[in-house]
Amino acid sequence: MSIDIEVKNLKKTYPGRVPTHALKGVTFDIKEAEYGAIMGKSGSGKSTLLHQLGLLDTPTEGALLINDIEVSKLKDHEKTLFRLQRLGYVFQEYALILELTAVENVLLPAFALNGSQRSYKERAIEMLDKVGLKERADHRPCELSGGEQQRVAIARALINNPKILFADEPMANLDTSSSKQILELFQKLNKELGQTIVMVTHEPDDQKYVDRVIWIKDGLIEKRSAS
Amino acid sequence: MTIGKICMIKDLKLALFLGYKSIINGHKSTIALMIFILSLAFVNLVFVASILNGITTTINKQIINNSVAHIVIDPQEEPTRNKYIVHTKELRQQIESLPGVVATVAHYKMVATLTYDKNKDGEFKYGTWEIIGVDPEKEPLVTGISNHIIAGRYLEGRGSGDIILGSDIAGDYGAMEEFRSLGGVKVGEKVKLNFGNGTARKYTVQGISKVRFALIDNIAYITAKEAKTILQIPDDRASQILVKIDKTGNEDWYIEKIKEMAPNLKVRKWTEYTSVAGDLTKSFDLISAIISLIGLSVAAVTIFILIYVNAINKRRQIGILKAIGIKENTIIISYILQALFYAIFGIILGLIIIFYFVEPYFINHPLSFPVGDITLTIKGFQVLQGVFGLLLAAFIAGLIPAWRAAKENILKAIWGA
Repeated sequence: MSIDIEVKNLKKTYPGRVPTHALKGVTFDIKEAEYGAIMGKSGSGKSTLLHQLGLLDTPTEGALLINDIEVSKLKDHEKTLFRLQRLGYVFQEYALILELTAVENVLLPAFALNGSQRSYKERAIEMLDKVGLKERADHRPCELSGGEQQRVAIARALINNPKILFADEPMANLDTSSSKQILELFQKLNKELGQTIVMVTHEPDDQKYVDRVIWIKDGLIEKRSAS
Repeated sequence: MTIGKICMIKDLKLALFLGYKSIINGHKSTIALMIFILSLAFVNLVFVASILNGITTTINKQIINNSVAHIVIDPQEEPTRNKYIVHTKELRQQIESLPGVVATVAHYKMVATLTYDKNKDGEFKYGTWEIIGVDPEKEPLVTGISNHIIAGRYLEGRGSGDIILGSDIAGDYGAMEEFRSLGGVKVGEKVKLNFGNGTARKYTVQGISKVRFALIDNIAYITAKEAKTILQIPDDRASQILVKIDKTGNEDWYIEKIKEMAPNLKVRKWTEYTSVAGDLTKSFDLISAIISLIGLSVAAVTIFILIYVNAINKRRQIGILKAIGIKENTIIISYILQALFYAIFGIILGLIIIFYFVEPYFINHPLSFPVGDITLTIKGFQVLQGVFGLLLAAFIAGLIPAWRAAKENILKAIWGA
């Protein structure tokens, strides 16, 4: 099985009067079709790590390779295109565009990639169907529950068939039942479609859904489970 | 089609989609307010320029219609200065044969001291004014004084002894300098004129003229026949010839032709003859340009603030759009399109306000100025200037805040750090 993500001695320091060393040299890799979780306490650096992997931030040092491309060296506009073409990202707080309906939110990345909304509307509805929200396609985010919004965000992250799906504590604001639905959905996507997933979570119970866990503590890998 | 063009079209389509959704799903009252504010900015741009145009148009009309027509011919100045134009009959016939010449008239210009004993008690009021001798039959073809008689009647026939006084000479008709007037001469009363050449005559006031332009309301008119006896000149001479043509703006061609006919005469366009028109037009154009610039700047700042507040409120959404892979340029274009949308609808509303409310109002209720009644003179190019100015202001004012917001770090934009 080939490697999707290769992280080599990744460091991130936030400048300031007292610089914050959020990542102090992290090295690991994620294989194709793997479902990995990054776990750790609050402030351990797990979200910072996911931001670097999702190309939302730029590491201070080290190398990050996704599908053998050294993405840490890409220019901003190249990163934007890379995110659009190859990555899906699910935020903690749903992060939907409030002025768009569920289906419009989902088709937005496809529209950006292919320049047509009509031809991708069907696919967007299909994606909503996958996350069990076909009937709510024309509802705006304010008309959806937290769990439903998060499922719309997942459908949006998947519409361009990304190679890798990143999820940053996607269950943080959800009730137990909605959290379970999301975790099962990720598991299904991983098992049935072979989707590579990297998820940040602080919930120990979530371990049972994933193939591998990387524990982060004080910006360093504390331990990792076998894949 | 090149890849670059395809990408551009893709970006534009997405920007249009985002802008459209933002507008139709935005707060209706905010959108209405933005459009209303921009319509006022547009009205302001066009209104001020149109009022200033109205003033210059009125002055120009006064000068052309009631003073010197389109072209003024004065006696020879070089190599020797002549007092009169000679062979006026032939010259006028030649000029009137040119296509587009409406008519010509000869004027006989003098200066006289007018004296009036209002209470018949030996206490005279007097002053010195310009007197023009006119042909009462031909004059109305060129100047419109006969249409502005506010008391009595206009000069008739070739009779002597009659005079028309400008309202500022007669007094009691709201002159700018009432104290300089004769203090209220009535139609039918007599005034005495002492001309510069020593001739003194009494005239009966047949009428009072008022065009509401100080330069013209300070002139008195007698018949040409009478003027020639005072000046003691033969029939074919005149102090001045005025030429009226059918289309303002074509004067230069006629001036050239007249100069060919009479190379020694001084032939001038009405703007050169009465420097007040040219000076005022220049001054008002400058004022108009300055006010337009200020108006445009205010409009630009207004749009900037509105779009900036909008962009700041949507900072998180801009961050999300970037995070899911939407290009910065697409986001910027979507905000520019929104700004242009507000500007276009502001312009449309502004045009409705101007052409359906403001202009009709001023036609029915003109502003009263010392140069006449002023209405709006809306010039097409100034409307277009306002349209393109506001669109440019909207473009820039949409671009800057959107550019700033779109350039922000994704995580900072999403979490507001």
